[in-house]
Amino acid sequence: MIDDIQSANRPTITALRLALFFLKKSSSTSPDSSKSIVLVGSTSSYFGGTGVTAYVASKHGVLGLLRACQPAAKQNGVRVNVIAPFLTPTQITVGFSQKWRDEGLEENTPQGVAEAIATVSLDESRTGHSLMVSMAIHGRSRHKICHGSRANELV
Amino acid sequence: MAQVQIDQSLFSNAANKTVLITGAARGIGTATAALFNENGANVIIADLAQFRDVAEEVIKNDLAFPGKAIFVPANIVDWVQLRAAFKKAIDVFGGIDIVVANAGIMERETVLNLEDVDENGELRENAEASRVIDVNLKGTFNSKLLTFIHYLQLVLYFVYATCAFPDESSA
Repeated sequence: MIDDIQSANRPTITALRLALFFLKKSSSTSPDSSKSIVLVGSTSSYFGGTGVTAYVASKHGVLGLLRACQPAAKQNGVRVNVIAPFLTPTQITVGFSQKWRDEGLEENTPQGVAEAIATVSLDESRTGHSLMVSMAIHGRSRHKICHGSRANELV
Repeated sequence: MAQVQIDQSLFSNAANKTVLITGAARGIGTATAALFNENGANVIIADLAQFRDVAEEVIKNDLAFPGKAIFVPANIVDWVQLRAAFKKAIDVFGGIDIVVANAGIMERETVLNLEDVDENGELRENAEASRVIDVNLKGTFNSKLLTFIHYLQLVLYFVYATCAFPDESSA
């Protein structure tokens, strides 16, 4: 189990720090030079009722990083945003996902979350925002909808 | 809370951008790499070396433009490896525009289980909980060697802190 956990290491502070440095330093490969970072949080960045204590604490921390990094991000001309997906079937939700489906509830799809990631990274008006991606609530509509909250209003 | 409608026309702005995605050999990371690549972006799939075959399958089978994608092996709890991944991305594509720090892992056992006691009835340390915090937020542990170095650093820091900030009560 520990090996499984180690295999999925994605340390956010390390990635954020290196990303800021290299985005500032390197040139853009497209005509517009907007640079951005997306940190993948979770609905557990906001809520804590699921019982996965360490996960909730760590994901709350990702939102803290978003807020704390805004001055440095602005100073270096980089936009930083968070995507906070609701339950999305991936290798880390095996088991949990099945219970969810057994109840007849709808999950996010990785593709839906990817669209939210692309949206915040490409929309130059967004910085310091956190978008909660919840297919379970609105998944039956024809359009993919995110609940967005402006994290920078909460700082 | 405002609702945000996904505007797919925005995705064409990804053309020719260079996007580094950590943990992209699987799950949300893979879907993100596929979406950016489909819209003309260069993508760097950064993941553990053990996922090389998986990542190369992703590039071959799931990406619209396999020629605009590379896999870079990086255990990103390792500062040097992740730094090398960024450098490789810039070397290959000439720059970098977007970074997606695709976060992590979840514990599988209840952290606040107070029944987890040893033969003397003492509560056991929950290593898994610490690891989730380290992985999702700090990323300090990886191998036994790194763990050892981490503890060595903690000891050195403690010694340093003790020397630098002596207890006021003893002053």
